[in-house]
Amino acid sequence: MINKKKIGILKLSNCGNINNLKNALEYCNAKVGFIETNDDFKNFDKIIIPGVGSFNSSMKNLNDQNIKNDLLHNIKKKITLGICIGMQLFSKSSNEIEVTEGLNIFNFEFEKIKSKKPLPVMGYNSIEIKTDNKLLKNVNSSDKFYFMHSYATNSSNYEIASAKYFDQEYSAVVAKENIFGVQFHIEKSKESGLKIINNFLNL
Amino acid sequence: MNTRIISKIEIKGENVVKPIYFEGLRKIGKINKVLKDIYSKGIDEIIYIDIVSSLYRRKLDLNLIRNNSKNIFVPIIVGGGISSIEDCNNFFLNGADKVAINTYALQTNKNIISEIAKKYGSQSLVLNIEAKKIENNWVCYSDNGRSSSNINVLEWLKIAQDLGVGEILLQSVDRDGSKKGFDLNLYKKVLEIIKVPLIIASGAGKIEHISELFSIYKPQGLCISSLIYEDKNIINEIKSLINDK
Repeated sequence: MINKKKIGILKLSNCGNINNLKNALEYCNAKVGFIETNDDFKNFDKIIIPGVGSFNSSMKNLNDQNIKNDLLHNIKKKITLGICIGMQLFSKSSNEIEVTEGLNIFNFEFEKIKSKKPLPVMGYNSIEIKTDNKLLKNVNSSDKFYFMHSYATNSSNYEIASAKYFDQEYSAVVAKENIFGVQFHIEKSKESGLKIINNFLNL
Repeated sequence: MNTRIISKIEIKGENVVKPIYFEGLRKIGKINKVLKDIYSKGIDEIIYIDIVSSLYRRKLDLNLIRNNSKNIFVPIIVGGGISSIEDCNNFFLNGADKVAINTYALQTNKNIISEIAKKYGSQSLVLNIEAKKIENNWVCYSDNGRSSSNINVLEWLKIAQDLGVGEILLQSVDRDGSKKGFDLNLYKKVLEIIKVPLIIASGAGKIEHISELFSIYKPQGLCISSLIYEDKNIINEIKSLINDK
């Protein structure tokens, strides 16, 4: 099934693996392009803020590229998904490198995971679904997702799934109306990741 | 969290090759075929290293990695000749999910580690260590085991961690491609000081070598290449062995 809605991937100058994300979306028959300037938003029905990047360099690029206000404006009306750092940017702030203010869409903060175990968290993990959501349709406990991060949040208000790293539990998927965030990399989580991509395309 | 089974794909031209002790080369096959094969057999992650780009100060062929990494939905670590943020950016835009650095950081400018970590986050940067045992110490090598340094492996690991590296790929020049088993003494020494995830590589020649390694400590990543090239079904065999522990 070809989904006619067009997906725009936000392209920041520290943007990381955006072509891998584009490939995964196209594999699921999506129409995909990049959002590089404010003029690009109008061409897309849904927005993805991709992963890879530090929090403060990503926020700095949003400001330097003069794209922050239009992004916020578009997020309010279009279905939006943040992946890894993309999800973290939805927060009030993060203390990665130095305390930096986020987009302040979700009322939570990111902090370094308090664990004596090796960090970053690196590898495949299952998630525990807390609230039914179309984004997680057909996802179950045998699905594993690739996590690579040192900062996390615990959101009681917006968490729809959590993950556990040894004794530390944190939010793996968050949702608020049309805005979604996944802490893991759906583009690099084998068939399990493609399942969530397909769910996102069908939203 | 289970140990990831990772394969290191060594690239020369358009082929995957397997060097023995980082020297003689055996041709394995075309990049695309090898990647598709190991992905379909359940590999968890791939390390893509251009084995000649550092040595000849030549840039890695970005088209090659971009075209071959399509539809491989596991993380790909790309290494070979990184000497700037711009190189990292090019890698990320052409198929890399993480980048691996060795030669330039070791020989020229260690601060590139913190520059990359600040821009892309620690989780996207892997330090590739090529250790060679000399008397009772391990010394860092680079250029795929060809160039020596006077830097102690354990000292270098501490420095790189302080600079913000997010993961260590620990290779042994003495064991790589040898199938004689891992350098377990090196492994134990590294475990005493490491704070970031470890990918242990070099030397797996039979399943027992892996059991032996896991009896010491379960690493976050296990890198095997020669064994996989011989029998791709071994990926699942190893998974059932280690995930019981």
